[in-house]
Amino acid sequence: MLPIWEFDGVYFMYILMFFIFVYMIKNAYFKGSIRAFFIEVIKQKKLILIVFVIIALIIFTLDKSVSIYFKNNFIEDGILNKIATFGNNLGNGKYLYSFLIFFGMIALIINEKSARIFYISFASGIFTGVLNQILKILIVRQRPYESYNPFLIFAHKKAILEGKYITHIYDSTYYSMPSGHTITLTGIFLVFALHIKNKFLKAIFFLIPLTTAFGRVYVQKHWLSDVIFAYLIGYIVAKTIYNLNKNKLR
Amino acid sequence: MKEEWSFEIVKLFKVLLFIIFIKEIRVGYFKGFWSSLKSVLKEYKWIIFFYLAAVLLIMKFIDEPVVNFWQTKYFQKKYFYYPGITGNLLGNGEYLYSGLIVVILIAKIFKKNDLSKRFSLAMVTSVIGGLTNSFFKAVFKRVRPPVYNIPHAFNFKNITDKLDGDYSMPSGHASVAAAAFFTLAITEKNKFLKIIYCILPFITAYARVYFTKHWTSDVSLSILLGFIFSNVVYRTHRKKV
Repeated sequence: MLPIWEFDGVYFMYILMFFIFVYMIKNAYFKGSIRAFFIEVIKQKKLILIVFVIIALIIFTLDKSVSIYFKNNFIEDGILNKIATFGNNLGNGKYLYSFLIFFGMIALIINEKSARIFYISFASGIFTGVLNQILKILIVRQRPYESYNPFLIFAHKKAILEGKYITHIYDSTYYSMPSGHTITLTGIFLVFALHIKNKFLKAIFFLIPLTTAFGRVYVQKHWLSDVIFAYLIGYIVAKTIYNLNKNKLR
Repeated sequence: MKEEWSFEIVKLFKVLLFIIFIKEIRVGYFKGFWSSLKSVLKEYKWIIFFYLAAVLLIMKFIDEPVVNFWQTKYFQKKYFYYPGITGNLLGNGEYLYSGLIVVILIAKIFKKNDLSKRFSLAMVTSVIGGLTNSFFKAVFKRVRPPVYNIPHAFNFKNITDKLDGDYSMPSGHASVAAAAFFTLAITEKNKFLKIIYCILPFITAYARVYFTKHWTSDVSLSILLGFIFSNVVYRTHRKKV
């Protein structure tokens, strides 16, 4: 039989994303972002230090027990599973970026200026996505579903021996830290959270990434410390990119 | 987490289409539609008359042999198949509108107002073509070829599952594609692109006949409809483009 060409609507979104990316580079959305990121890191050193201490404590105490607790207490129809499903699917890049671009394009049709906050958020998402890959290669950590040993951090030797180093696409066993879903979602949503003045909406935008963080731990894809680290990085990146491009909103 | 969302992203484009369409109407895209329809009909009346006569002749002499030809021989040949499937994709409303919307939005992002206006004109024309198409289908009530193989089965009332839930004349795919691409061809300045835009609807027409979803006369009629609508819409908005 002759083949039938399968075509998905996501491809149209990808084309749109590519052109928005070109537009953002042309209009200097990323200009000086790496330098600004490091400056922001230095500025926030107290917060980062505190979170690092907390992460270290969690690795030694809570990580293993939390993952095993969720494994043993998995309920198919429970509310926790529903929240986890929502978080996991929202963190899926396909849906996340499609929805973001969709709302951004509605804003563009209505008023050109109001789309810019969406562009900034998209830029933040891209930045976190790239940073996530770099961090994953640097911090080689085993995922909880492989073995419940939370101390396999910087396990380059083991990963290379098993032939699983730099193999994100088809085998991500050693790419647990930081959580990619959480970092992207945080980067995108916290830009809105920083921008909006309404306190209630602000709180909601700060909380939505936490559902993803919870979902990733719940389905045994990440340790608890991974998602906390990812949330921290996402926060810093969102703040950097937002402060960098704030003048474009006027 | 057990299940992944099975959400089709094309649905988002449908919403975008709705929003763009409302915005265009609000600006006044349909002002003077009827008068320009009248003037187009008046200007092209002889062409339309002879074209319709040709459609009748096609119905009488060509429809049946063509369908028989595609049903028996050559269907599996690759060089007939790939243009066919391409044409089918071009005439599929979901993909055609999504593609047009993508171009409109890219043009809006880069502030190329001319391009965005041209493509939104094409989209509006295409939507008109799609809507009138279902009206004509309800009027003619013609049976599709693979069901009974009689080219003269008009006014067919007992619609069943066999009929694909739809009537044959005129072809929806072809009229949507023709309306969109002829509008683009009229407003295009580049000659090369103009020729390409003119050829694309014929590929769709060929595809619909190739897959024996339509008679040849159906697709010829829908190309005429697309031509008329594109002229009408262009006439109403000549000053804007």
